This record gives sequence, structure tokens and C-alpha cells, in this order.
Amino acid sequence: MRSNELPKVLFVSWSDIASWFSAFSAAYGNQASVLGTALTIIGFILTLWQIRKARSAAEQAQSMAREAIDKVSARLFVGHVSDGVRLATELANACRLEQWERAIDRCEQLLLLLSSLVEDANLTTSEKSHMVTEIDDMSLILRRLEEIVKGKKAKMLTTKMEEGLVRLRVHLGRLDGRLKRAALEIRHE
Amino acid sequence: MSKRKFLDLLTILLKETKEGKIQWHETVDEQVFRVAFGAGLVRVEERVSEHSTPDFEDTWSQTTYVALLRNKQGRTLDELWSGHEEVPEGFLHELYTTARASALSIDDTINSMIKDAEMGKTVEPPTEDSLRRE
Repeated sequence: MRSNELPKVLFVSWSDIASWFSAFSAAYGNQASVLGTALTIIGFILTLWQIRKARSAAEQAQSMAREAIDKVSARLFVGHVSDGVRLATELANACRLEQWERAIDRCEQLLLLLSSLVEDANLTTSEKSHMVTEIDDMSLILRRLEEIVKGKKAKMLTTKMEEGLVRLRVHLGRLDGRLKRAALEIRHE
Repeated sequence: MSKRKFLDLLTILLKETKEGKIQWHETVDEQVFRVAFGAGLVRVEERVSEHSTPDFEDTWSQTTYVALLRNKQGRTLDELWSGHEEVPEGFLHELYTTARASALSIDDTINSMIKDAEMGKTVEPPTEDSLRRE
């Protein structure tokens, strides 16, 4: 034996592997491919199942998060409506006491508040349309208050404006009551 | 462009109001009337402004008719007034009087009175005696 030749036991040539593979395929080819296909299908089903499981867990987490956001926004909304009732009462009092600057301030705050609430999902369609006209009425009352301060109009609100303010307070009060009742019912459940 | 579109809307409103298809509503201001839609509302108003010479010797008042397009949040999106170059003369005055008549149901009241007058049907004011009897 020459020194540069390796013993066959240690060196497996590519042709050896190829011939072993073709012999193995001839003997067990069909069984192996059936088994392989079966394993592939099982793997695929397992993957699909895992994806579905992951997706449903994500959806559940998302719906829980949405529920939590809804609860927080409902609480904030109740707070805003209560603020609205307070502002409308303060506005009416300021007009009664002829504190026009104060009345303008409350009217502006109330307008901002109402415009932020008008599209809220906690309002019914009829409450929303009521609020749109109330925002418009408040803007007319604000204009009147500004004219009073500038000395362009008599120092009083018209009867219709006073009635409009009462209507707004009644509407916001009713809304406040409905929301608080609903919150109590949820707690009771 | 938007002024032109707003004017188109007002023209439609005038036509539909005359045909009795649209009902305007009163506001807290006796000189302002409005009609609301899903996306907002249209307001039409009569504004009377007082003017005077610097020495206040001569004073006069000027009436302007204004139409406003407002969104749900109360923001004014567009505005047209009598005297605006795109507004035909007398158009906003006509719209205002038509809107006022619609909001206050003036035609219905007059029609009812005409009917009563033709039938000679009047209502006598209560006398002191009748009030005492009640």
C-alpha cells in the first residue's frame, strides 16, 4: 500500500453514498415517501392549528383591550356631561347676576365641551341631533353676550335665549341621569 | 368654488322650502332660522347694524342677510351675505323670509284664519262674567 492512499473504511466516496441511496430507495422508496407525505400533512395541520390558536389569543386580547378602553371612555364621558351641567348652571347664574365676562367664559367652555361630545358613541342618534342644535344655540347666546359686553345690546338675554339655556340644562341633566343609571346597572350586574 | 357650491345648496333649499318639502326651525335668536342635516346645518339670519356720522348727527341702520354653513361641531365652513358678488340681488332676503315663514308656520296660520274669516268664525275674548263662572 502506498502511503498517499487512504484506507476505504475511513473514506466514504460520493459514489458510495449515491449507490447506497439508490439501493435504499429501491427497497423502501414507496414507504418512505408515504410516511414523508403523512408527516408533512400532520406538520401542516399542526402549523395551521398553532396559527389559529395564536390569532384567537390575539383577538381575545384585542377585544379585552377594546372593552377596557370603552369602559374608560364611558367614565370620561359621564364626567364631561357632569361638567356640562355645571357649566350651563354657572352660565345661567352669571347671566342672572349680570356678570357678562364670566358668562362669556362659561359659554365658551360649554361650547368647546359640547363640540367634543357631539360625536361620542355613548350618545343616541336623537341626543346627537339635539346636541348639534344646542351647539348652534350656544353660539348665538355667545354672540349676544359679546354684544352686551361691547354695549351693542341691552344687558339681558332674550326670553328665547333663557328658555334655550333651560332646555340645554334639562337635556344635559337627563343625559347625566341616563349615564349614571346605566353605570349603576353595570355595577349591579 | 365652495361659495358657488354653497349658493347651489341655498338655491335648492329655497326651492324645496317653497314646495313645502323642507321645514326650517326657530333658534334662540328671533332673527335666525336653521335647517339641520346629517353633516351639519344651514343658518340664515337678518343682521341689523346701526351706523352714524362721527358727530352722531345722522344715524341710519343697515340690514344684511347672512347664510352660514356649519358642521356638527359648530364650526362655520362657509358664509354668504347679501351684497356678496356671487349672490344674486334679493336672493338671501327671499331665502330668509321663506325660512322664517316655514319655521313660524305663517302660511298655515294665515290659511286657517282665511278659512275662519270666510265662515265668519271668530273667537270672542272672555268677559269677566264668563271667567268668574269658570
